[in-house]
Amino acid sequence: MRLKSVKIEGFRNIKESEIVFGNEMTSLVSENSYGKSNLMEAIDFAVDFIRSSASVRNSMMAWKQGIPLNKKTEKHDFKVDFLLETEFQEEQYEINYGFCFIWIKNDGGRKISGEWLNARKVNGGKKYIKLISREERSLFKSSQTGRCSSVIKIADDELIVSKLMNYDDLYYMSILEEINTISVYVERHFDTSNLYHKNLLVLKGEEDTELMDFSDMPRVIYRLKKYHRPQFELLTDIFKQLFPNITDIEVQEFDIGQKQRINISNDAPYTISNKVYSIFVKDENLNQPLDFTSMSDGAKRVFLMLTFAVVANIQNMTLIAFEEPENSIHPSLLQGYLRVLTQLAGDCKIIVASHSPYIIEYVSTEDIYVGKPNPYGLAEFARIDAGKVKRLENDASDSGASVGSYIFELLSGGEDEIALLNTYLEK
Amino acid sequence: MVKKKEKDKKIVLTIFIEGDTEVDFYKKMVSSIRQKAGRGNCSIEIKNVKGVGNYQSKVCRIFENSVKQKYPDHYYVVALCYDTDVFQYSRKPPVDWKAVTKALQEKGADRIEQIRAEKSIEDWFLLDTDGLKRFLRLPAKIDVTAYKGQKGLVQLFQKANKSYIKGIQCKGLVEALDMDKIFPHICGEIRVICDTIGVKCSNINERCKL
Repeated sequence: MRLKSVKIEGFRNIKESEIVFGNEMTSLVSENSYGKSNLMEAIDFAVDFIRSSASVRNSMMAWKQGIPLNKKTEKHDFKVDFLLETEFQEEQYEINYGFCFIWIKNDGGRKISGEWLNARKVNGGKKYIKLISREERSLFKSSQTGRCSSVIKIADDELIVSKLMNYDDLYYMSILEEINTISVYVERHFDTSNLYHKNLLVLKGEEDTELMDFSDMPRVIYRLKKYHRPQFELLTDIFKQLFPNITDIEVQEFDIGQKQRINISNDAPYTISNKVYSIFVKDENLNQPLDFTSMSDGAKRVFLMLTFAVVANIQNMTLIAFEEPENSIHPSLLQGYLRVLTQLAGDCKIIVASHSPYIIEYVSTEDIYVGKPNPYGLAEFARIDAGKVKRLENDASDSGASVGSYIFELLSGGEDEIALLNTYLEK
Repeated sequence: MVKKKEKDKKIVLTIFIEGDTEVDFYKKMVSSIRQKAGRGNCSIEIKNVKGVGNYQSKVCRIFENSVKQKYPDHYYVVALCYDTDVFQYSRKPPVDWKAVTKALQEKGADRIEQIRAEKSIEDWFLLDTDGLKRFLRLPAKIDVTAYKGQKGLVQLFQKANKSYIKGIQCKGLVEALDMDKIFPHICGEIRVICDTIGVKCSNINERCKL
């Protein structure tokens, strides 16, 4: 299932914003403390909401850090609307799924107030087939020939899309399954220095194939090599291309073989593993292999993000988000780095929040979303208008700047420059 | 061709290219031409203009501070090499080749030519399918004729569980290519190089009609 767009509102300071995902990565640019991270967090929150149990959802609808506090949006409900594409009954379908809920209030709230699921053939006209509807009543479509009119009893913290998973005979079960497995990962490791050390702690009951615990990179890389050898080889091949001095990357398992002496209570989430791992690199200029912990911050971050992209592809993730991918990375690497991240991630979409004109110089101009400056402290993102791309590029060229530098110049300027910036954005 | 009044000057050809693999390819190309047809009567500088920043000012800076300093009072020929296709994550705004040409003229370049790879330099690499298959350790029987351009080369690399990253050095790729299989197809595009070195194209490519 490929993500085409997401529309979101009613989370922290986010004013309704729609992000449409193209073929390249999507980038968010704005001033500091504007709301780029809030937007990523809002998408992450929405996906968590779908995947959580009813009791967790109940707590989420009262999550203090998510409730809009801005005077302009304080009464807004949380609302998310996904547009996805998938293969269904051997044809390409566009799927529209979303829900809204009322945040906790003094007089109640904390209630899912709407939900919808519609599908239409990509090349089959404009009309959507309604599969789920939740307005006055909660309804679903129970057969291929019938209408969306079967009543379903649903609690305030239940989602129809989750409850219908218990119905065996629904003809659109594959769509429901895909919606229930939408996954987003937001990468926020600005400091990667601790992620490459040997780590004895593992989550209790963690499968040996688990790849998502990036706090122990050597273990993830070992598992990648053991269970996904081609992807491991691809990852190391790419890293060696980006860092030509590196001639080899190897990961080694060490069996500690000691009886556990430390008592860990049964309630604790972690236990002690009797195996630890290290990543070693061979550098053509060094007379011996180097532990990855000794690599530069930039190399560590690049390796981490490449690994994210590989794992996202393996796990069919829907979206990965990178905060400031330019952090610690030399500008000369950026172009190749963006190309390779997109290649590795496959169908998984990538969104980045960036303060780097160099990144923005390379991403597709139509995939840039600018946080529109406003005096209210609201985060409202608007895309560069496809019809204005040529003018923007010409204007940047005339001022001797790249598109990235030009946008940041305008963003950091006075009201005249902000007004000019707004003329390039979609209304 | 060199004007009469300039004919006593020594010639230097500067080839501007973006990308590490591309530079390796042009070095091999020049070396192959010279092996077949002699060193010729000019010096050649191959300059990589990869990386962030303004292409035009970079090219002018290299021409003025490096080439002209190293070869004072020469007849300056410049070749600007680029792909006609637009790729993912290419610089924006795109390079204005007319403006670059004008700027180089103002800096003292005597002759400026463009070497345009139609649609991309990867199409040139794909002309030696046997060399690519050997490099990627793909079975000889595999048909790669359907793979076109940069996207095709990426897909071919993926078939071999490798990654091709445009602009980043791919160790061993260029060494694996046989220029004799490539020259006959790109003769027109690289004419400025043969012309400046002063070789007859037919020396390196018997199918050349130029």
